[in-house]
Amino acid sequence: MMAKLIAIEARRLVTRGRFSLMVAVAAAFGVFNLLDSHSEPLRFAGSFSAAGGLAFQNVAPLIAGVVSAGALAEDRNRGFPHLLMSRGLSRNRYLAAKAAAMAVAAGAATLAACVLIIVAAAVLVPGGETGADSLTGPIPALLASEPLLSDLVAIGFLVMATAALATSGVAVGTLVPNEYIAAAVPFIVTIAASFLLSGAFTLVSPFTYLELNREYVAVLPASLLTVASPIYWACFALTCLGTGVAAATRREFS
Amino acid sequence: MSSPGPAVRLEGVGKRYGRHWALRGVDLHLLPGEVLGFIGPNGAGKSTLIRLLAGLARRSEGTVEVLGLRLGDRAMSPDGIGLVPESPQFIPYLSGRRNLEFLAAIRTVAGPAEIAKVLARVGLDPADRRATRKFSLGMRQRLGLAQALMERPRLLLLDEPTNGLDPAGIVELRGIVREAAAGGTAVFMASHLLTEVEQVCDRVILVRDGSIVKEVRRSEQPPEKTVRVVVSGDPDLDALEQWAQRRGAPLTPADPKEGPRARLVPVPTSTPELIRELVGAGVSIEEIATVRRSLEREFLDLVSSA
Repeated sequence: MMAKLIAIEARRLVTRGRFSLMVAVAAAFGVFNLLDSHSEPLRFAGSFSAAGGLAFQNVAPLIAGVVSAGALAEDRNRGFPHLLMSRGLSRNRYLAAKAAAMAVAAGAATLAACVLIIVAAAVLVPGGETGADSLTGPIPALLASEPLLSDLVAIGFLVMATAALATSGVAVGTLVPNEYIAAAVPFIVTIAASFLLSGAFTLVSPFTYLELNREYVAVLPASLLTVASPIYWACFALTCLGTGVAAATRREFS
Repeated sequence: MSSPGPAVRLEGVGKRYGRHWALRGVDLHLLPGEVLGFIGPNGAGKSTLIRLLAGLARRSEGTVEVLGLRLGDRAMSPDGIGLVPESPQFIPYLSGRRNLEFLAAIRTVAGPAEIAKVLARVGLDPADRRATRKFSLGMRQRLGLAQALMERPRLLLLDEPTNGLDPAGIVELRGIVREAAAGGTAVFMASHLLTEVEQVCDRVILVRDGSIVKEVRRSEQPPEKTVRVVVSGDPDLDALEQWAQRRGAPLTPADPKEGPRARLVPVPTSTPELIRELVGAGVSIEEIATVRRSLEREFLDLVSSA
């Protein structure tokens, strides 16, 4: 039943107009960066790491907020969980399914945008490998040796990041049944963290794990670059889900 | 053959929010095929009780057993519940039918044919592709009823089901509720429309401050039979009051619209005997009629005594 519910809920989010809108906006930013924001000639392999994914440190939280994060609060505001939970679905399972669906939908939006950027790169950028002289990507050694793989890793990190950011809507939506507040939180948290957290605290800032070309490489030791992002976003999502479940149990939300 | 167990059994149930008891010491049972009405002033605990029965909230004390499942410390909904919440809301950008298909996919009990049938039963067009955001309150209420009925529930919980329904819709609702009960579904209905509750329910419980204060059975005779007596003149009114004093039967002024010489008189034995006594006491009677103590009266007494 869980898999079915996740699929239904995710489909609900993916078929909304705002999903397509955010995919288009994110892809447009990526294509713009391909054409404009690079200091050396791009080649197809490595072009996403070097330029196409640059805007995602700001766009990913927007995608998470607009596509998914407000979904639980929106449903609660309408009393819709009543109808679901009275069908034998426990509160925790409902929240887990909702979190998974929100993550899937947000991740899918980022993935779709990244695919569009890659397709655009195939058309707009000459073939070959991008030189890594002034660009790093999430794993500089990988960009230098396997630029196409570096692109795929960067996309994977961004998809995970967007998915995890969307789960903030479970924590916020459980506490406040207001769609707009829940939708704004991923962006506000990311931007606020980029300004407020400095020094050692940048290790826990979501901005660090979204800005893959500078912050990520600068803050984290090279040996952790391959695992730090997945671990950070997994912890982020579990914290959000745990907070949501604890608050929902205490407040008997529905 | 053993009779089926109760669909709902509550014993000493209480529900506390912080320091406030929303329900306290509630004992009730509801049998399959029975329609139980639940009325009380605002804040009496009606919605809290429906949340407890639907498994959406945990009891703070007592025993809650719904459809054979004892609901313990964890809030969980037993299988077989149909819930119509107060002012049901749906996914606004989907049609009524798509909303039901979405909900039906959770239990996979109702298929497209059942969904179309139940939509037609509640007076909605199964082919209507309008998004539910364009539905009126009454249409949403009908859709709420449809989602509760589509999986053939064994317990139907209705929280103010007549909200927004037009008179025809209310009559249809009455038929639907009786039909569900005839099919063995236990129905629990909280409503402010007292006449509706009175007409459709087998039993009605009155609640105040989270406690059941009275239970009225539809089949029961009113506990005290009353007649409305209109006398001919003021001397007859004096004679009536003297008779009442001798008999220890308190008179109550009737509705002012009945005139100044109308009184409600409790019947000590039987109505023919009462008439003989009044005539014997020199009371000249213009009109006499049996008055059934309505649920409305009970409710108003309940509210005024709060």
